[in-house]
Amino acid sequence: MKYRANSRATALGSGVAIAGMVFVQAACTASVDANGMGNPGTGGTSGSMGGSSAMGSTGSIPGGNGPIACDGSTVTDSKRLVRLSFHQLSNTIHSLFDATFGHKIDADFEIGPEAAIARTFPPLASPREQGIINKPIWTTNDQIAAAAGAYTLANLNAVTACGAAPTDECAQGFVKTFAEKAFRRPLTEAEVTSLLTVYTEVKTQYTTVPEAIQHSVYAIMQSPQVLYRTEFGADAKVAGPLTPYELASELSYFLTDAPPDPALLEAAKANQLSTPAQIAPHVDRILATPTARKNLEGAMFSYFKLDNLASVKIDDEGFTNGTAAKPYTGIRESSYREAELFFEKTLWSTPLEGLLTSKKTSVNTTLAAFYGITLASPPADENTFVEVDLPANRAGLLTQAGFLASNSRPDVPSVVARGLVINAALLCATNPPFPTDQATLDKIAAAKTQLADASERAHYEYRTSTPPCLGCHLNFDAYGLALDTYDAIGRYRTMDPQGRPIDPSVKLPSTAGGGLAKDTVEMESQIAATPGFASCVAKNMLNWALVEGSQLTPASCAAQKVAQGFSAGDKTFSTMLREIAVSEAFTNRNAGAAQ
Amino acid sequence: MKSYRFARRSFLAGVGGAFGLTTMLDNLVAQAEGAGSPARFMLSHFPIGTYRQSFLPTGSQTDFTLSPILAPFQSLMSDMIVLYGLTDSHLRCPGGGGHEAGTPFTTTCASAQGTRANGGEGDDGTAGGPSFDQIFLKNVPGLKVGAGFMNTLADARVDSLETSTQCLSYDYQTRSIKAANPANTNIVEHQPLLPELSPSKAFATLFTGFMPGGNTPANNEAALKALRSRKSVLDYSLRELERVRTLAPGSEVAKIDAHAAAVRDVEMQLQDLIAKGGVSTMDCPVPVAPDASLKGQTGSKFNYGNESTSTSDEDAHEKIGKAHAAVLLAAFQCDIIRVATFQWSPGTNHVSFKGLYPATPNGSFMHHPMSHRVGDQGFFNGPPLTGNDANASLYKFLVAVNTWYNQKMADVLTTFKNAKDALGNSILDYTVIPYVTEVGDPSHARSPKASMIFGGKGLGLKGGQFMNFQGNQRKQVDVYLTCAQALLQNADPLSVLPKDEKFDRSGASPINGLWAPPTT
Repeated sequence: MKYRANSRATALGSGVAIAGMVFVQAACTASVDANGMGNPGTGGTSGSMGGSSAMGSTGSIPGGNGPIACDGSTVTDSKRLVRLSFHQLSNTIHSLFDATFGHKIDADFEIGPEAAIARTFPPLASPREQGIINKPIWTTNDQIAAAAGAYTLANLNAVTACGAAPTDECAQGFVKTFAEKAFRRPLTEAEVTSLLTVYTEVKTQYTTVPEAIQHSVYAIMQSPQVLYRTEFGADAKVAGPLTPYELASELSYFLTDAPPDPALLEAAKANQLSTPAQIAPHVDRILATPTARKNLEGAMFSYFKLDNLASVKIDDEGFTNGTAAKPYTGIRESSYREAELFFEKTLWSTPLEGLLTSKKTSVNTTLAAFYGITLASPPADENTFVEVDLPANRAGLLTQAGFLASNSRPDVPSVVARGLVINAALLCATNPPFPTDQATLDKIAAAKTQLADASERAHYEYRTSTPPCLGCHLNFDAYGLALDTYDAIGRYRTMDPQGRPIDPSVKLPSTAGGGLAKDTVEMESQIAATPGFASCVAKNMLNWALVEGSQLTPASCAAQKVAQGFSAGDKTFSTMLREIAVSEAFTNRNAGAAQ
Repeated sequence: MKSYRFARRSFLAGVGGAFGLTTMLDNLVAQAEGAGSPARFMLSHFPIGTYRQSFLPTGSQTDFTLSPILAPFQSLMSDMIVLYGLTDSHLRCPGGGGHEAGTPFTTTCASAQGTRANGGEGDDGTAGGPSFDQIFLKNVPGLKVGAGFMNTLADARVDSLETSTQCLSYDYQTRSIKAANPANTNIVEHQPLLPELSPSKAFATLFTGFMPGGNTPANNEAALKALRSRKSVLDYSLRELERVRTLAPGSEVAKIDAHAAAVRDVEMQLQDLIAKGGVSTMDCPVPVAPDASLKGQTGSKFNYGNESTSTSDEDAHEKIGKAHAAVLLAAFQCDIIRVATFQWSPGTNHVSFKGLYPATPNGSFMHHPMSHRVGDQGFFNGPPLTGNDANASLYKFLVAVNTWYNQKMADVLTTFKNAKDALGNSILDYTVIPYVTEVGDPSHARSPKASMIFGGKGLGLKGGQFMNFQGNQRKQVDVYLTCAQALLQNADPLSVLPKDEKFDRSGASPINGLWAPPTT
């Protein structure tokens, strides 16, 4: 027997499937991943930032009507050492050297903002990254550090301001100042001594100052103080808050992917980063900067895996309807830009639910025509986008051409794949793996034959009513079915290719509230209003902030605490980020193990 | 017995090259009066298994005719051992995917605790032990020289963020990580030693500082200054790591130790070289640096449904793979390293090939997405399909890709065969090169799997043989134990390899008849 066994794709989560008709495993237990096991801790006080022996509330957080049950503790991680991602290292280099050198390093080592590595979610999730520095990663770091030293030597006065023939006094002053900037904190006396040992040893070799400066810079740039952030607090073996300088770095790399600015370092120096009231203004200040916004818009872009749009295969020939026209021409690039602009405008100006419910988007002339929007004043060229009101049949991210195309097959949409993406990315449910046992595969093949000419709704009804399929498909197919009024490239349609009317009305799974939705726009509103949506985004953004990702779930106390603060506020993305930044999960760590 | 010659060159030492060459000098002095060249090991890989009836040779163990898939190795038959019917079925990795668990299985021969939580599919298998390149590096005397090892990969595009399929090499160092499977747990994995994608960067790592020129006092003095200054930097790095270590919690010590080990490896070799007071070396053909634009692609594609591409990759893929191989060959010749891994692509391979799919002769199609168009093991292992319909075209495409990789590997091995080391011996004769794959076939079967062993003739490996264990399967580990006989010059390598090594020893043994002590 020959058959197409399993075409797969992924969203956040696991086991997403795309195929003409796809099933996932029977008897699954697809559900919100509510079994998070945060570090249990043994006490502590919710909302405090003191240094008790164990941190955070455990198993519940305070609520308006009494404690709210949740999983684990509000402090999730123990004292630790966090490696800077390559993109964070790139930004660090840009902060220390001029743009010429920064861009050269970005290009030579592919670590700049245009590199694929820069947009992974969470930051160290790329296969080219790891939490550790082993030999291959060290080799790259070493080459970058050596290049920094060589650049300093070749541009001595420009980098050091010590002139072409620097004195020891000026050179050593530069080395100390440069190290302090690179370390993102003042140096201890022992660190200064250690660093000047390099200077002295190299000067002994060469008898000249420039080589001593060169190797000092080389040493600094490959030092652990540059390549990691510490989260040790005052004592790594005792639970408690990060030091002010540690928090300054953590906060800055979270919000901007770059080292802390002078204001943050000043606040750290003055010990003014110890309470939520002290931290929050810095969050608001930084979130107003283009650097932070661009970084966080990029995070959301990778959250929804929209980078795939650049490479996703579109069978343009399949959409010609016998004409020479190619309806997808220009849409890929236009919809990519549309998504970027959508995050740029929506994230900072509307409540978070606007991601799903906004009736605004930005289009160029190509995209306007694609959406059936008449522009009163068409922009002059394809690179100009204007903000418009969407037609009644579209709202938010899910109906954008980019999101729809990047979650379809080249020629047809996939109800199951789209459903799985929404299930995982918007509601943080765990998607089941594709079945691998031959008996189930045979059933799928037989069903495929039986339903070869059936509508997507008939497929949906079969999958959601027939064992073993229904065990899983009841949990997510409805989302994809509601989206069936958009074809594989995102055009709105009321009839399927066989001329049958498409009925997008669905009963939503319980994780999305279990209500009835007449179409995608209604479905989006209902998902956006579900507490699970905010909890899911909170959980994922907290994972982003914590870099390596704890075993958080939407039900984790840490995520719940953020979601609670978010819901009590104006429910904007900025509020969620602020709630994360002032949360115990972000500012405190449990005690580290003794060595 | 060959004599050897010292055609000295001086160079400014950087990483790798200088100390490797000096080590070679010492070793060759010791070997010059009767021993052969030093042993080397290169673990190599081809993606997505094979297709039984188009793969199996016909004939007997020592008198056989190569199949269409193996035909590219015709001129290397006497250097080649063909094995079929190998298995990893006994190994476990909860939640691990076919290729994702299969790749570390194939190189570590150890069960693993589960899969990484990396934002991808959740099936990214971890390693339950070090890989055999690292095992040999640690346990085979003389195998560790210079920079130690180099891992290379010609293309790194994968399905869904997985590390496993793009990494053959795993360290002794372990770390605790968040697991996707078992859910909500931490597991311990042996750390991946990710390969270098850029041949020019691999070259820079191995050959930085090579400067052909006379063995003049001025050159030596300049080299010593560079060595000492660099050592000062690395000493600083180690001091600062130790400072961080004293402050860190116990959970982070392994992280710091891994970092320090990477630094110390190079630092100690610098120290050794400085102590010798010079940087003289033997003659070796330092290659021209590869074109910096050649570099394996990266990305997370997960487009099973999107098999075709508008442009094909095979030309660039071949160039990158061969550039990597050329760097490794030169590093072997200069004795900078004696251990390497060489991987064409991940098992979740997104390299596209043009003109290999008869149903769409001008189309370009990606290997891994195409391989999952059919999931039936019988399809892959049954009789070759004829005609140009979709199924026959698919079968032909997959066989053609398998053959393509073998052709390119044969080209690489031929250069190894023709290249001489400092003693005038063929590099291939003293290099043991297992050529393995992560699955039996595209259905993800853990058995029967194919492997080949190339080279090692000077170390006693008996090429020109074919063995099919299909009815009485052998574990993949037996392939490495056979390699170990040649590397260790010991018929019973299990008596030499420490008992606490994590590979599965149960029922494991070298394959009889493939190795005998070489006659001098």
